[in-house]
Amino acid sequence: MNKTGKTILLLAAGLCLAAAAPVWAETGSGLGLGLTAILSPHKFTTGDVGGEINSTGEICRVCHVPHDHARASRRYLNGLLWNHEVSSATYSMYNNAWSNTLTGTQSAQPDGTAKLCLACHDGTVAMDAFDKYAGVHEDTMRNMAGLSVVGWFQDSTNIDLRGTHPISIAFPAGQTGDGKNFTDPATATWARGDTVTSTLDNGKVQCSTCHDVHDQESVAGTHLLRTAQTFAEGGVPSGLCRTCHVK
Amino acid sequence: MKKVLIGVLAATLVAGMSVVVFANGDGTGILGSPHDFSSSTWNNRQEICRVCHVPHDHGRASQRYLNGLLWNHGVSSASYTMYNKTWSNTLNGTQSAEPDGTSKLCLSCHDGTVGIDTFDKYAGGTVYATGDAKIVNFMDGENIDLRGTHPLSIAFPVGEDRYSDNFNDPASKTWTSGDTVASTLDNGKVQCSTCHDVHNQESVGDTHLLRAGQTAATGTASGLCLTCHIK
Repeated sequence: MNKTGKTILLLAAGLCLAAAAPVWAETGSGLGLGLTAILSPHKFTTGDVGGEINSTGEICRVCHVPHDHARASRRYLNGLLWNHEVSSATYSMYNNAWSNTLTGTQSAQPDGTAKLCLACHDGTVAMDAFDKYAGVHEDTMRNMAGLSVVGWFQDSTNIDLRGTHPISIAFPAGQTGDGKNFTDPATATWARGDTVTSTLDNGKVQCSTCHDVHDQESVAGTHLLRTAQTFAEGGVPSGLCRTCHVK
Repeated sequence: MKKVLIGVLAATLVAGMSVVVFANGDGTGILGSPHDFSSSTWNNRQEICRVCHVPHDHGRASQRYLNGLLWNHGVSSASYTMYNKTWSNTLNGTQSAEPDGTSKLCLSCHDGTVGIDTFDKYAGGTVYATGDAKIVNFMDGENIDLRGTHPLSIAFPVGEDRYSDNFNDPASKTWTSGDTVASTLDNGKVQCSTCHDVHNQESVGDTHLLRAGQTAATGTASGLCLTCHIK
């Protein structure tokens, strides 16, 4: 399909979503039209959630800020001019021992950009805990029903990531480059043509490897996925999985 | 890219046309293989991987992921009667009291007690493995009987050490694909997946996803058995 065709399809999908949504709300689905597009999941200026958590009227500021103004929390040390509270949880990571082929080094705790995603998506930190706001707020994802919390399982004091695809793990992991288990990330591409390598974070698989947080390349109607998983989404069965996994 | 996409689409179409899922592999991958359920009526999303694995468990109470490998399918709650080691003079590798590791995952369909469509958020399926797809047909009271099945969840090499007269060295002995036997052990144990290649990546054509042929037509006479057993 040419670019114009794709754009028309995406716009059509966007209109369908808009028509289906009774209120002007963020959705859990991407459009692939960028962060400023109406209904983009992480655009917290106009939607229901945005109205609840963000009085600044800005988009980027919920996560990033150009000047930290020397706040004691030093959130900027998380990288990318981070402006949101991060979780202090200790997580149960995916268990490497379950797999014979998974030998890539996995960090002891989520790091890099995954740490930033989990600043909202582990459900323990209020979504409005950004900018100068440090206090405990009610608006955690866990409290805001229907939003995407990963690691929902609480195993005592741990946030459980054992039911989630390994993150903060080196890729290629395991039997690499032999084409048997993993594709070559330097040549394997997502739906929009970006290489898998370009979506690694210092060589590690993170949330952002599969999910396109800024909704620039997401497949319309998916959870900001870089490649569709179904025919209905315009792709092939398990297309996202099979971009990396040779099966 | 376009060519690849067309290839994938073509392969998918071919897979889609085969209404009956074949029990035989051909080593060409999961697409169109016995475990490609993307065209099954009970698989609404028509995904392949999702029937068994899921990237986020979404905190389901069943905690299926504790079975490992991001498992997304109901597992059997059966108690099995295991292979009886006393039948063998040479078998003294440690055998688990119940199937574990990846065998537990295979049995979540192939013992015939859990519906194949018991995956994702669905707790009670209605489509069951039957016929050849169901092992352990013998029912011994409350037990699912594995006494008629090659030992699984058992340490290999078993019995006399690997330089012995009975077993080949798994580190150097290879299947048809060239993979070592050791690479197909699950934490050192023989499991279903030691002989059967579930994703159809290395299966010998016209076999039940076997890693080596058993006949002259598919390999050599009893080639699979003799990969491990010295007889």
